[in-house]
Amino acid sequence: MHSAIQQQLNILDYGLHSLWQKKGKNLAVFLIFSAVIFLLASFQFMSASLGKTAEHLLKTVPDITVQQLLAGRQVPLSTESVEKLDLIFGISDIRLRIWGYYFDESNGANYTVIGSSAPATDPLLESLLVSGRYPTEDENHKVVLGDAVIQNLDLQNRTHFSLFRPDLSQISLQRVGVFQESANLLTADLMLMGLEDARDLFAMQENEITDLLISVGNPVEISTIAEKIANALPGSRVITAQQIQKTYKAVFSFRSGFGAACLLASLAAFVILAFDKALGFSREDQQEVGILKMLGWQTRDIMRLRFYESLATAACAFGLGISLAWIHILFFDGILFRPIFLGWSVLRPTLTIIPYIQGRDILLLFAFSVLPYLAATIIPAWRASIVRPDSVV
Amino acid sequence: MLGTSWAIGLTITSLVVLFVTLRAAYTGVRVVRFWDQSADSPLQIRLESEIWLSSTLMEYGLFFQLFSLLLLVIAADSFAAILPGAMCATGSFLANSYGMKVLVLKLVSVFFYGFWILIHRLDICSPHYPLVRLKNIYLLLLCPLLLTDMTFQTLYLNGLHPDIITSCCGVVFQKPDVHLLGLSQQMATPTSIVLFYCGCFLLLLTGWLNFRYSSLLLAVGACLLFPAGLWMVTTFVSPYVYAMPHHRCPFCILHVEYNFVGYPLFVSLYLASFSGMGIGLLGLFASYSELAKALPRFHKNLRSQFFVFLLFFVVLSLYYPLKYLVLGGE
Repeated sequence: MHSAIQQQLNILDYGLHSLWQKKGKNLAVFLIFSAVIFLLASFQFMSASLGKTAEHLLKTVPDITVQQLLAGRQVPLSTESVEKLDLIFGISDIRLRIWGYYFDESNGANYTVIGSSAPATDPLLESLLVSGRYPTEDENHKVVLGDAVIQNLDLQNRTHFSLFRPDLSQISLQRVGVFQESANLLTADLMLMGLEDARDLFAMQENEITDLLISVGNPVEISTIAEKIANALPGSRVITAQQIQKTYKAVFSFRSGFGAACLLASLAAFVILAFDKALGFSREDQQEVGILKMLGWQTRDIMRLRFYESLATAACAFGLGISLAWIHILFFDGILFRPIFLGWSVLRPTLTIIPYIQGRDILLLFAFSVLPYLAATIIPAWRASIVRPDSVV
Repeated sequence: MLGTSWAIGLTITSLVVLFVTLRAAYTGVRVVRFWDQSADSPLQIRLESEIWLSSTLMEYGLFFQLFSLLLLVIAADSFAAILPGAMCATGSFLANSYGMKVLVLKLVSVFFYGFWILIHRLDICSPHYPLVRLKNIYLLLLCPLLLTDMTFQTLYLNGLHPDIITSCCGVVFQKPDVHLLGLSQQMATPTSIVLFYCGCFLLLLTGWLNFRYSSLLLAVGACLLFPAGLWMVTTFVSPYVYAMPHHRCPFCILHVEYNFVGYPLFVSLYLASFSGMGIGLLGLFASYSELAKALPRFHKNLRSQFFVFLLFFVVLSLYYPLKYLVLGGE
């Protein structure tokens, strides 16, 4: 047993040595392989990191969101519906919200406007502010703005600004707080204001809102309560926080899959290159195999030698590609692939993503890159190893 | 969900497995048709060098297939984050009717690959390659299995829709009306637990003592050991690992929260079962005089492997229940 291991180690030693001697020849394969792995890994890490960022941010989402549908489209909900929900046990809090979009004609941007009945009392929202405070319930014309909104309105240090109602009369607003950059996936284009102000801005009726935000005391009961709400308010759409989270993950997962599918072409090209490169062994290579065979090496020993060489190349390229991808995500915020994941609208969120890496992602990347490469080098390795010593030496 | 990166990774791995096996099968067909040990024709010389290619391809194939099995379980676990209602890999596997089939097919094919390599190793001990035709026929029989595996896997991935509500493991393992291959409908009873561990003890004893029908006994025992061991881990061991009596799931023990304890458990169970079945397989070649020298060596190795891995499995699987009995709950 011991001598068998020693034999393998000797073959490995010889393989690494001959790989080092032929480094010029293997450099091209190594570099291209690293580049392919870098691209694949960047996509995978970016997707995992964005999923993590979304998960982190969505902790602020209420347990259940209720909207009213009419003919399949969302319509305003009446505040009277709150009374119907009061009868359901297990609901700890109901908040009213107006959620809409404000189109800024001067620069073509769409801002997300949220009017909330009591933003200041929400402990979860507190952590999202970088400076200032939320408007209290009895205050009017006070707003909290996201990063991108401030830049687009060119506010700089000014706190007062105006927006247009649908009839083109103006409503004056004062900035009292700013959202932090790390929450930009959700808040970059956001204006948060009191319920009355939002109603005023969109010219909605007195008792109209767009959604109800419901907190549930016991998280295990969320799905049961969601079902009861759906029964109490006919035609309503009831969404749980978990569903939203899964949807975000699904979106990022599909985008990373799309990226991987696009990169498959480069992977295929690389595998063909590796196959071709391994197939084209020179006169010296043949002589080397001939001499080894004359020294008593068997076909299987030479195949093992070639296997160790491929494995060493793949391992180094894999390490380099993964490290570069990690640097790309960690220090450059995944700059190459941001537009694909985050969109390219006028208000592009300048988001700080939480770098996140999992062992399973490494395993997946291994399946994507190293396995096809190893498979592509078996047949050339065999072709090289069946050389008859008397024909070359 | 064929478009997600996990699905693409699984498909690539399966394609690679299929590629190496089909290339080996190409050699296999020619060996079955034209192999003639006594001839020295160019074809025979070519075939003699080509069997090294096919055996290397099959060794790669085993590794890739093992990898594909691991990838499938981890992929199912990550699908649980997308499929509404699924909490872990169980929910993902039950999301459509192909999930469990793919898993079982992959498990079975890993066994068959292993047997092929065992036969190959035995074959090359003799310079006359007495099993060359047999092992190549076996190789050809593996191809339909792999094609089915690949087809079911594609159907499974294609049939996953992120909007289907699937049952999670908590529900699956509580309700007796949900079938998971009839494995987990009920908790292990004291009788079945005692029966299982007594059986393991007897197998260990049989592995240790070499009496007349011990090989046959080991082979039959090992065939039963694998499904029984999986069932025991799911219904008896896993609740102690999770410290939750109602949580019976074979996949969550693979998570970091439980120190990846599932991997050594399943790997030792697999290796013990494989060694036991391998001993039975060796019995089939007792009549080959060319292998008379190699067979006892293989036999001895497999026996000691069987003993060590089964002992490891029994000790590890009893560790959590015993810890609970001695130290109490968490």
